[in-house]
Amino acid sequence: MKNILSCILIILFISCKKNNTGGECNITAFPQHHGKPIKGATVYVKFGAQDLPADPTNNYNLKITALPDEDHANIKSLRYGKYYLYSVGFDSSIMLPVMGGISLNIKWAERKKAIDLNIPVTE
Amino acid sequence: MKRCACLIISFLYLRNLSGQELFPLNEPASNVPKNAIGLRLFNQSYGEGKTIRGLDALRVMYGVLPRLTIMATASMSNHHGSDFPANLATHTHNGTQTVYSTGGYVVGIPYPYRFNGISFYAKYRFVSVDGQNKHFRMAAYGGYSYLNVAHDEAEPNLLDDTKGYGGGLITTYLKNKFAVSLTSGVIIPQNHKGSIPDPAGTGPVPTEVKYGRAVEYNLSFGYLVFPRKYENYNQTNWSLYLEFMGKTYEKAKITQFGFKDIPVSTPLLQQGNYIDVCPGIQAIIRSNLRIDLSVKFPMINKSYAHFYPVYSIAIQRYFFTKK
Repeated sequence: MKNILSCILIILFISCKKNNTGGECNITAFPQHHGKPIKGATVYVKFGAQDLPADPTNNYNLKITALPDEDHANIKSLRYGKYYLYSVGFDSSIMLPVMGGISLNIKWAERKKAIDLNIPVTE
Repeated sequence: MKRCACLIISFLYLRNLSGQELFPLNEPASNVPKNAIGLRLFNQSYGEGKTIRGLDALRVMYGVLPRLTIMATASMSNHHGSDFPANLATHTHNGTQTVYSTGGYVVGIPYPYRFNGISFYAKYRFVSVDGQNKHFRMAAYGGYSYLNVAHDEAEPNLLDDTKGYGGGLITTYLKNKFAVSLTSGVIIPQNHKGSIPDPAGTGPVPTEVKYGRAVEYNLSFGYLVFPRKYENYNQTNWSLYLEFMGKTYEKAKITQFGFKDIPVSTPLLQQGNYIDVCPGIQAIIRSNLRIDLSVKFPMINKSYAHFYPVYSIAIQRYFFTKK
């Protein structure tokens, strides 16, 4: 009986895991300044957050930098849950660094999906 | 027989909680009797340009204890859209300079009716000094609102605009046909996260509004004009009211892109204070069915959360359960 209870608890614990990697949801993040793609930007991901964390370029769980000629960053294998994505890049048309953040809530029904997400940034 | 008993109970209740302290817009320190259920349906409306703004709400009240009343109010209105208006905040580029600002205020944007959410309220009477045809009562109240409304003004309002909580004190004095009540309290609103379209017409920009905290101070006067003398519980009670609704609130804070604080330039989002004056009339039919009418005008400054005059109508009835 104890073993069955333990198994149920373990299964519940595993199935309740969220706000982390190890899942099947893939995010393609597109940093954009007024709709213009920002190539080679870096995306910082904070797990379990819905607000911009303090010092977001140091206080993060995951950091992905797009290739210099790529307008997106691939964030792979997320579980369902709450995330905050903060992007830093450079807009060569105005010769200024640009940055911005957005919260992301991956619902249980979306846990195996591929999601495209625009990250609006500003100078 | 059962109907007669209900009438007698409600009559005794209204004699205890006299009609002239059943203010149309403010709660008195007195309570709903134990195990009684009250239903209140009310509407508030005003014109904003060519648009009529309306709020419809249903309130359920219950007397848990002789001294404790709880309420829940569900409301719907066409005050706001599903997201912030496009002109709430914007920015322009001038060379390498970027100028952020709150946008101009557009009057009368038509919105469909939306369900705002539910607000909860509890009131506990802790002082009761009762005498012949007079009483002095004090109560503490607290409330919490679970709303999802893209409110775009600094002033918080737990009924239909902002999620959050609040509390305060109510002091009511009644003598003969006259009643006066002071309600003072605070509102601590919670932020609302939404988005507005990018100024260049591209995708939404994440936007968060932190509303100002507020202090409320409402003073209500009531006078029973009819009947001059109680003869039976079928007499309709007519009361006149004059209520002063005051509020002082802090400036709102708008944050975009998660980190950029937008300078607030519109008075809608600035700190403010005002006192409205609200004359009203009330009929209580057969000691239970209550109908309130009142109108709100600005007296000192004005609220930017609504236009004037604000017309309010309410109908309320108690159901007395046997326990």
